[in-house]
Amino acid sequence: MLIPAVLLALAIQAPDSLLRERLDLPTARAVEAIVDSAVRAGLPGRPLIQKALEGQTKGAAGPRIVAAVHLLYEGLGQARAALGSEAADDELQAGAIWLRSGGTVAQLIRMRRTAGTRPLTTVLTVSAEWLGRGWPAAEASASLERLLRADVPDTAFLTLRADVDRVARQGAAVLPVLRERVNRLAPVRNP
Amino acid sequence: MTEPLDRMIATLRRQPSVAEGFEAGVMAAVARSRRRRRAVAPALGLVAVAAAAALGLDRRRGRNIEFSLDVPAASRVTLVGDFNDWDRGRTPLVPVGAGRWEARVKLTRGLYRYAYLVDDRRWIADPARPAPADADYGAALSLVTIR
Repeated sequence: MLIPAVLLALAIQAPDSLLRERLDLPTARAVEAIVDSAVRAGLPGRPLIQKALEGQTKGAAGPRIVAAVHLLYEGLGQARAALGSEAADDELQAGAIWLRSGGTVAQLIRMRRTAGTRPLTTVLTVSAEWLGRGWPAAEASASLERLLRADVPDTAFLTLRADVDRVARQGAAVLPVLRERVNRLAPVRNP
Repeated sequence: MTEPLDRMIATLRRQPSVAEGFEAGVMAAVARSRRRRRAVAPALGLVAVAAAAALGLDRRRGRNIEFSLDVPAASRVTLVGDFNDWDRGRTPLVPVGAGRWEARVKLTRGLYRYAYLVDDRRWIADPARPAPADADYGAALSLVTIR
């Protein structure tokens, strides 16, 4: 009986113990409180812990770490409100990234309505990258809705992402290429 | 006068006795209790082992993801991210020639943020998977999603 229990204990990671090891006590406590709130609200705690550990590794001060974790906690909550309670943890993280990159909750809600039950992790992660490259959020959101309505698969998004990366590495302007490819995948219908 | 006392002494000296079958009934109940404990303990143990195996299996079931970076002038490159608790030293890349560094990491389903740390001081995003600039800590970042 003891051996299986020990095996189980070893198999289950305790990442929150890392907070006490790696952060000063006040910061660890503040982060733990945020994680507790998140978990009680049904939000994933692991991304919050990892956000704190990232800050420690990158030499951020305690208050900055706490602020970053709290911001992510809010983002996850907003993403869940927009994407629905059935959204998987990685979808919530992607939604939080979309919001942090300049997207809005209303845009997430519209994308969810258009996509139905299709997971939006890939779509949101890839398009958040494009927001970071200067794609205006309103235009991005409208284009993504078109792509979702046209049932463009995740693989096409990944191919498009690779194409855009190649263009960026060659030093060329990314947005014209992005717009052209999006129009090819999901042409704008004339009224 | 002594007769009630004699009767009392005689009663106390008599050997105690129980109803016929009482002792057999008690021993049967004890045996049943022991059998129940013997049956439950292995079941609990099996549950614990199955849970531990499932957690371990989930990790073993992950996909091997290759990470690579071309940094000819570097003397050390490590991969740091959500999958290794942002531990600077846990996932070193190996130089494979012509300035290329590589590592393979087994990842289960999920979304992971990461970056390369070059010579313990320079954070570089993965050119193959750039992400929006990290506004929180001001350093380069990349994302990988495992479906």
